[in-house]
Amino acid sequence: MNDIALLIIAGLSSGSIYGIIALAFTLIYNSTKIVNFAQGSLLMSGAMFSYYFLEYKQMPVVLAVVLVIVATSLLGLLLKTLIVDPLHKKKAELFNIIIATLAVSIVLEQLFSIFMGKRQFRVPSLIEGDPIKLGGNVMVFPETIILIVVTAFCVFCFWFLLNKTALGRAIQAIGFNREAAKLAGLKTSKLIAITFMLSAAISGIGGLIVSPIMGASPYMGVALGVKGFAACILGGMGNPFAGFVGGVIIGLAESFSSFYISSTYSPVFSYLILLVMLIVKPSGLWPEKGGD
Amino acid sequence: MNKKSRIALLILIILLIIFNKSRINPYYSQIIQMIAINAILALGLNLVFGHTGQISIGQAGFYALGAYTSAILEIKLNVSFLIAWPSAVILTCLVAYAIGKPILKLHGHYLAMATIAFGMIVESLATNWLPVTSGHDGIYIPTREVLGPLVAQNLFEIVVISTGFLYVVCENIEYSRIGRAIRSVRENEIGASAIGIEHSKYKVMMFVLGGGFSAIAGIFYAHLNTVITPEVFNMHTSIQILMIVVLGGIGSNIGVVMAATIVTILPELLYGFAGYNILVYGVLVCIVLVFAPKGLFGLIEYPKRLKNKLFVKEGGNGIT
Amino acid sequence: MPTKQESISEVKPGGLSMKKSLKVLWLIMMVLIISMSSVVFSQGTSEASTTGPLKIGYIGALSGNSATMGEPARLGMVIAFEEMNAKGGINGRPVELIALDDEANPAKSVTQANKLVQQDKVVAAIGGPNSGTALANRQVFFEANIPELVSISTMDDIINPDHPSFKTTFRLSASESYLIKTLANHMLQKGYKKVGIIADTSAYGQTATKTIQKWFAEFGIPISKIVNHEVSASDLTSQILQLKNAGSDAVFIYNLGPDAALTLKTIKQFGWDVPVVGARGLNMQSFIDLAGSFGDGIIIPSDINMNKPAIKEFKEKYDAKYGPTSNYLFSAMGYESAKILFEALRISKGKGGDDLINALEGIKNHPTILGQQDATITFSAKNHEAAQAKWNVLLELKNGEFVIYDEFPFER
Repeated sequence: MNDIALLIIAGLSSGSIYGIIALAFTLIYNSTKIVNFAQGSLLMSGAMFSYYFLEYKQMPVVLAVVLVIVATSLLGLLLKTLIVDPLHKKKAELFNIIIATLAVSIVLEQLFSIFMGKRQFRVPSLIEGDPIKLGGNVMVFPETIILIVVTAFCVFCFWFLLNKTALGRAIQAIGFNREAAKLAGLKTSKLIAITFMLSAAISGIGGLIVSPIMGASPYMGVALGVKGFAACILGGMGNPFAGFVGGVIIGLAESFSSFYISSTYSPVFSYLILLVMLIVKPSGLWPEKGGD
Repeated sequence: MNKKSRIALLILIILLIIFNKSRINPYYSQIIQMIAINAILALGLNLVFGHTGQISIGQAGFYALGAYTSAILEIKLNVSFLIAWPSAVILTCLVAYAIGKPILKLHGHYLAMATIAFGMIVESLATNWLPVTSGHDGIYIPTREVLGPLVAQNLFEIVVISTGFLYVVCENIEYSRIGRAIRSVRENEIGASAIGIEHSKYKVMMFVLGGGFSAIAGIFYAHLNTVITPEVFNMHTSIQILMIVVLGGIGSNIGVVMAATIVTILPELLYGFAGYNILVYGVLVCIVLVFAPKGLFGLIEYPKRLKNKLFVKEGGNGIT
Repeated sequence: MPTKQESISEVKPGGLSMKKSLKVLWLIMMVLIISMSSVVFSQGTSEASTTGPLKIGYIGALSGNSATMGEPARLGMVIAFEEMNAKGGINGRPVELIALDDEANPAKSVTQANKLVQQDKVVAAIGGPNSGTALANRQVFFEANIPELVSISTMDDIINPDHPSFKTTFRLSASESYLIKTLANHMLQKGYKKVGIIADTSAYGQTATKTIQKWFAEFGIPISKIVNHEVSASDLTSQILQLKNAGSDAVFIYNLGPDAALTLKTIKQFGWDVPVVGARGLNMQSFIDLAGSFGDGIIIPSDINMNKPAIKEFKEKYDAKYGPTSNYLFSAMGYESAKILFEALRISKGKGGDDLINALEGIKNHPTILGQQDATITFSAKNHEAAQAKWNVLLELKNGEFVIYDEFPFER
């Protein structure tokens, strides 16, 4: 029983990592139909900035957090202005933009490795401390709790933003039909910029809460991005909760298959489950609006 | 065979006569080998993505299947290469069919994810199924012994000529009746089925062919390199092949071959930028993608009205 | 449906028309032909020249995760090269280091090896930290009869007397078997009866797992359970739980950096007080930082003994040039690789090929900065491994620093 509780927490923990990336994916996707393959690298940027401000410069926690979020948001804005806008003006196919984001993730990886170093870096947890007893024999580090709680909170905030605020509804309107939204008077370019910045900001927060567990490294983005993408697909792109749920399912599949079947072949089982899910329910658990 | 491919083949044959392997220094012949292999991989993906618009980020999985199947048959089961090579291609095509049929119902990023999952599963099996693949130790293929001196000595030429041949095959497909049908799938799935073209049949057909091409590339890689290890067959490679197709111009066979050449040679040329070379490579790719979205040789053109429709689509229909 | 012919003749915005693209195609082909022919026909033999600088190539991971080993090695080499040139070089010829990045990719490593052999015409080569790449590129050097001194790679198979490449391949680093035997011996002394193993699924972890199983069987140390994980794991609960449930009284970890740190952290999370033994790869600042206090008490082997006067000298040189660092293992190995090749070149009077190979094999009882206090390097026609005996020390992580635990671990 104790084992199962620990495995569930492990699944929630990994799931939150994938889920927060999925949340960022979903946000951009819902408003622009772009699958931003640089999302993992944005989380990496968040992690590297976290190292820089929290560990290297030893800044006070609150200031560092703000700086990390600002820095990653700016990266998001740059991505939008330098890559997405020019391609959109050229009426490029959606998919060219997507491939361009792949190239951007390579560039980000290289830039960070050149400017900050090629190794892995330590990032302290926002709250340091010994493992906390949760009941029975179940102990959890504060950073794991922060990871799960903050992710859930972000998911909730975005659900609230998208469904209960004017800004959110405007963003969704653009996703439905950009031309119509423009005609209705919405400043589409500005709103999309905000979307990119928000998405990057989430990734920045993601970097802050993931790096105390996994460390920060310029090369960590791609692998996490793929898992985050998988979480999106599994959960569906329909609403902010979808990615989180998808992520948790993947995380649970990983920890349980690793424990009960084989730790060596665990990736095979996780991806098989994903494949089966895709064949059986192609649009995910919460299909995006407008159908697939 | 159209004019373009005739010219290209002629150039290729002339080049081969002038520069047969014994006269080229091994550094260059090794690069040409990699160009050939990357070109075959890209041509294969081009059939799937360029012609039928189905995105695949799992080509490395078929690449691995070709390489490992031929190696295992030859080395562990002592099968002659004359049987091993076709068997490897056929097996890979069968797997492509088995995987393709269910997943090609998906579109856009859902399909992309399915192909990624496939690639990851193959990679994990290649890495961890030690009794069969020897994992990271790799499988050694003593090319001379396995192929016999005659074939081994001329393997380089065989590979290069095969590349040219496969290119011609792709061009022929493009210009044939099948090609027109396939392109109609790419441009408008609903319209195509309205005039009776069974697009799912063509999607699967191209996917299987793409798998076959990748398998051939894998067999060549295994025998030219004399050793295969799992790291080569990872998602990074799948992404590189996709980049080549995009840079070359989706749908253009000559484009992807040129792009394969450039992508293979570029890291060598960038050597002067020691430490910054991958960065420069990434930035160059970004610049090409932003300023020439159709790729270097983008020859596929859409009627204007279709393009507008694609961009302000309601809901999501994925990438095409 | 427009036929291909019709759509081709339109001029596309942002694209090229058919005629134009054919022209470009011709142009590119001509350029390729011309540039290739100039180099191709000027190809000489692949032997190094007999005047001018003595060129030595280094192919290693200078980017990516393995750069944490490959780059310090290069830095160590640079010191050796500068020292030698300050002394006037070998036989009056300066020495030149050509360092290439193989990104830990075997295919790339082969390309770079070819470049060193064909274009730079090196007289000797130094191999990098990764094993997959060494396995791949040793063939290239063998075919060119150029000796390669492998600096850091540990895979046993790299030096294999039954493989033709043995002729030109030498190694400075302790092999994986040797390192694991050292640890096995330590475990035997400690009396561990149920060792749990956790290894990553990269080449590093996978080959080690096999070697561990082999030597533990020989030494009679029972393994309670083996668990694996992918590199850059986000969670290791399942793995550690399995080791604990199997009743392990010691844990042997074979992973790196953040994964190793997470392993130790997870062990702590369970409140599990178990002795941990690790591999040489943990001797890195990133691991020490990431593990923090969770790493205290972990025992690892090392090829260098910081108490040895020779290595203290090297440390001073390194600190003067680059500033102090926490770990001198890889830079020391890079430095020594260069020094050994210099010694061989001195003996062969700057000649490469067979003369150089014989010179290397003739090195006997050569003093070295590596190994235990009284270690020396001896090669022979049958032995191309520098680390034969008295090579490893055991280190323990204490308060953020790896300190000597045992200078003379008993060896079999």
